[in-house]
Amino acid sequence: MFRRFSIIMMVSFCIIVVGLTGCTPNSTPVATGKEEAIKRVTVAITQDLKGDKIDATTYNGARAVQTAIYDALVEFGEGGKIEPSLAESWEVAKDGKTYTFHLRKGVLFSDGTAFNSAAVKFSLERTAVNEEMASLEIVRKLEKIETPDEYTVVLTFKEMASQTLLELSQARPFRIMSPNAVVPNGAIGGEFTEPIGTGPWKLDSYKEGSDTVLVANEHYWKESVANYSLVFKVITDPQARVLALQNGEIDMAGGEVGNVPYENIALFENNDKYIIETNASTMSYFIVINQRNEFLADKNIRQAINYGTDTSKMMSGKGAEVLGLFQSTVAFVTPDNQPFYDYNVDKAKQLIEASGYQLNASSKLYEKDGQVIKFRLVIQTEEYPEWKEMAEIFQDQMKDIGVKVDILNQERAAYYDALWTNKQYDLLLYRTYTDAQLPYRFLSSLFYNTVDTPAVAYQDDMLTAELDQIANTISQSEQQAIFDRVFDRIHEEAMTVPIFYTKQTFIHNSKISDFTFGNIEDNPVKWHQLHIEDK
Amino acid sequence: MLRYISSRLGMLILTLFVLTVFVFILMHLAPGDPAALLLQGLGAVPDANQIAIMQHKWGLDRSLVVQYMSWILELVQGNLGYSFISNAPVTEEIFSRLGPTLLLMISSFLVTFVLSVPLGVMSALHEKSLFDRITYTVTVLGLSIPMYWLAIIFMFCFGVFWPLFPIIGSGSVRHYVLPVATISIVESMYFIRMIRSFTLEYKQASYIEAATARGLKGWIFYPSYLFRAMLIPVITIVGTSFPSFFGAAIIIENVFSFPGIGKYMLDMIYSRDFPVIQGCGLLLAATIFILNFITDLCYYLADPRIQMEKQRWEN
Repeated sequence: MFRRFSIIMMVSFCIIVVGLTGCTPNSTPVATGKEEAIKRVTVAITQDLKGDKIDATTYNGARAVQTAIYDALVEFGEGGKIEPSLAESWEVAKDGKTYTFHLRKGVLFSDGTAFNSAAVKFSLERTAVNEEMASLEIVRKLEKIETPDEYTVVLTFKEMASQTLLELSQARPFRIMSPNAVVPNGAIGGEFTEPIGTGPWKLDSYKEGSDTVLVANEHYWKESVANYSLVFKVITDPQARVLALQNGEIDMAGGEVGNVPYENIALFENNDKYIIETNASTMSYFIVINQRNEFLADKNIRQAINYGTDTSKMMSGKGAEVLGLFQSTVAFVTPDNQPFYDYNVDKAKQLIEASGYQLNASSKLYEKDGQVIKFRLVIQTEEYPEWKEMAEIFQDQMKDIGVKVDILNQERAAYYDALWTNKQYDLLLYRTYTDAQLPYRFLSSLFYNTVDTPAVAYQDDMLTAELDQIANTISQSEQQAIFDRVFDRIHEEAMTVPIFYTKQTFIHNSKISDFTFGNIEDNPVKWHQLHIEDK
Repeated sequence: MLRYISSRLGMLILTLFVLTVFVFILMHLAPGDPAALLLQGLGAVPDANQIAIMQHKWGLDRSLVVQYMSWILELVQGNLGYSFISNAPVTEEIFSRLGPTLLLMISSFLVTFVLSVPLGVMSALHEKSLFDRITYTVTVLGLSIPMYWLAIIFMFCFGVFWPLFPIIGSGSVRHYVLPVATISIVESMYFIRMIRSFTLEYKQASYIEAATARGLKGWIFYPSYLFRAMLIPVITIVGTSFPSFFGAAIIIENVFSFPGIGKYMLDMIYSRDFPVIQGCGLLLAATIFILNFITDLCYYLADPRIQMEKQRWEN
C-alpha cells in the first residue's frame, strides 16, 4: 500500500515537472531583425513595457520607449522653446484657433513607407476618438483636421487652443504613427498590430514582464543610426537594479525609467568601472497644503512652515539650491519670478506667535486654547523611496519651530486617494510634473478651482482667474506676465512648501561613452548616439 | 466515495461564494481609485472628468450591489471578467503567467522536501547529539530570517561577489538557482522542525519499543514502522504548504524580477485592478480547497485505520 502510494506520488510529480517545463513564456518576435546584433545595451526599466501595445496614440507602454520609436510634430526644447521635428515650420492664426503645419519631406516610417499629412491626420484623429484623452486641450477643442496637400496639415479648433504646441511635443499621445500600424490599414478605430514610427528605433522582440529589444530604424531621418540593439530589462526592485548594474547584467540604470536609489549612488562614485551622468531636471518635490485644516487656513502658519524648512539639509545636499516652487529649467521661470522664503527659525516663531499661539515650556510646542499645532504629513515610498528621509528631516525641522508633525507613509493607492479624493492629510509630499506639462498643465490640475470641482490642492479664486487668462492668450509675452503674477501669488499666500529640486541621474558602465541626455525626461537619453566599446 | 466527493464539491462552491463576497467588499473598502491610479501610472494628469469617463467605462459608477451581481453573473458563465489595465480576459492574464511561478514553487518544494526530511529525521534519531543541536540552532535562527533580506544577500554573494548565477528574470535553469535556494532554505527551517518533532513523537510509540525489544535493526523497522506511521503528518505538512510557498513566490518574484503570477498579482493589487484581484483570489482559494481535498484522499490511502473507520460507518 505504502509503496504503491509512493510510486503514484513520485510519478505525479515527474509528470507535473516535465509538463511545466514547457510552460515558460516564449519571446514574441514582432519584426524579424535581419541578423543578430553584435552589440547590445541593456537598460533597467521598472515596469513591463507592454511592448506588444506601444500604440503612439494611447497611454500604453513606457514613455521612454514611445519616444524612441515615434517622433512628434514639434519638439520641446530648452526652457520650453518649441522646435521643429516632423513639422519643419508652422503658423498660428492670431485668434489661436488655426494651426498650419508644414511637414518635413523625405521622411520614411520604419516599414519604409512615406511619412505624409495622411499619417498625421490618422494619428491625431485616432488619439481624439480615444475617450481616455478627453481632458486634453487638443481633443476637447478640435473641430477638424484638413490636409490641403501631402505635406500640409491644418488643425482648426472651436476656440483658442493655447496649449496645442506643448501637447504635441509630449511623449504621448500625439506622436505620429504609420496608418499601417493598425488593421484594417488606416482605420481610425482599427486594431493596433505593431509599432511603426519614424523614430531612431523599431521593435524587434518583446517578452512579457522581462525583455523588450529595440533595433535601429535604418530609415531614421535625423541622425545616424545605432550599430547595436537596445534592450529594456524589467527590474522592479530598486536594490536589484543596483546589483544587476554591479554584476553586469545591465549596462545602465537611472532616470524615471529605472531609478537608482539616492543612497546607492555613492557605491558607483570614484569607481572607474562606472560613469555617473547627471543633468538638470524640471521636477520639484514640494509639500501640498490642505487649507481645510484650521491651522493651515492661517497664512502666518503656512509662511512659518516655509521659514522653518531648511531645504539645504534635504538628502545631504544632493539636490540643487531650492528657491520657489519651480526650477529654473521650467518654461516661464526667470531669475526674478521665483520668490522664496529663506530659512529663518526666529521669523517662523514670530509669525506663529503673531497668530496668538504660545510656546508650551514643557512640550516645546506651540498651542492655543490647549490645542497643539500638529499635522499629518502623508508620503509614499513605493515610487519615491527618498521621501522617507526628507519627511523625517522636515519633521525634525518643524520640531525646532514648535510644530508637531506625524509622518504617515501610505501605500501608493491610499496616498493618491488622499490627494485626489478623500483629502485625509494636512500636509502631503508630492512632485511637480515635467517638461511640457509645466507650469500650466500642472497648475491647472492642482489649483484650478470651481464651484463644481474644488481645487485638488490650495483653493484660490485669484489663481484660477489667472489660469483662465493663460488659456485665452497665445502671446508669449502676455503669458509671461500672467505667470509672473501666478508665481508671486503662490509664494505670497504660501500655498506650497518647496522642498527639493530633483536631478536626472544615470549610471552606466565604462564600456559606454558618448552619453547624451534627451530633450525631455520622457525621452531621457539619446539612446541611438551611444558608443559601445568592442568586447 | 461519490457521496463524499459531491459533498466536498458543494462545500467548495459555498466557500467560493462566501469568498467572492469577502474579496469584493474588501477590494472596494480599500482606499484607491483604479481610474485615478491607472491614469497617474500612465503619466497622464488625472482630472475629475477623465476619472469619471474611466469609471463609467469600467462600470465603477454603478452601485456596489449591481457591480457585484454583474460580476457573479459573468462568473457563473465561467468568465472572470476583463482586466481594467490591459482589457484582456482575466483568465488569459492569469494562465499566461502561471508556468514560471508553478515551476518555481514545485522546484522549491522538492528541494525543501529533499533537504528537510533527512535533516529532520536524522536530528530526531540522534536527539541531543551535536548534529541535533547545530540543526536546532540553525533552524531557530533561520526562522527569523526575512526572505527578502536573504534574497538580496544571495544576489550579492552569488551574483555580484562571485558572479556564478544570473540575478534577474527567468529563461534558463541557472535563473532558477538563487530564487529556489532562497525559498527552499527559508521554508525548510519550518519543515525540519516539524519533521523532527513528529519523528520524536513517533519514536516513543509502544510498537517501536516492541520492535526494538524484539531485536529488529533500525534499517528494518524504520521504513516499515516509523516512516510509514509518519506519513500522515508529512502529508499534512505537504498538503498545507501551498499558501506558504505561494507567498514566498510573490516576494521572490518581485526581488528577482521573475515574470510570474506572484509579481503580476502584487502589481495589480497596487493598481487596484479589481477583476484581476478578484479572479486571483478565487483561483487561489479554489486551489487551496482542492489541495486540502487531495490531502484528505491521501490520508485515506495512507492510513488503513481511516479506511476501516469509513467501512464501519458505511455499514
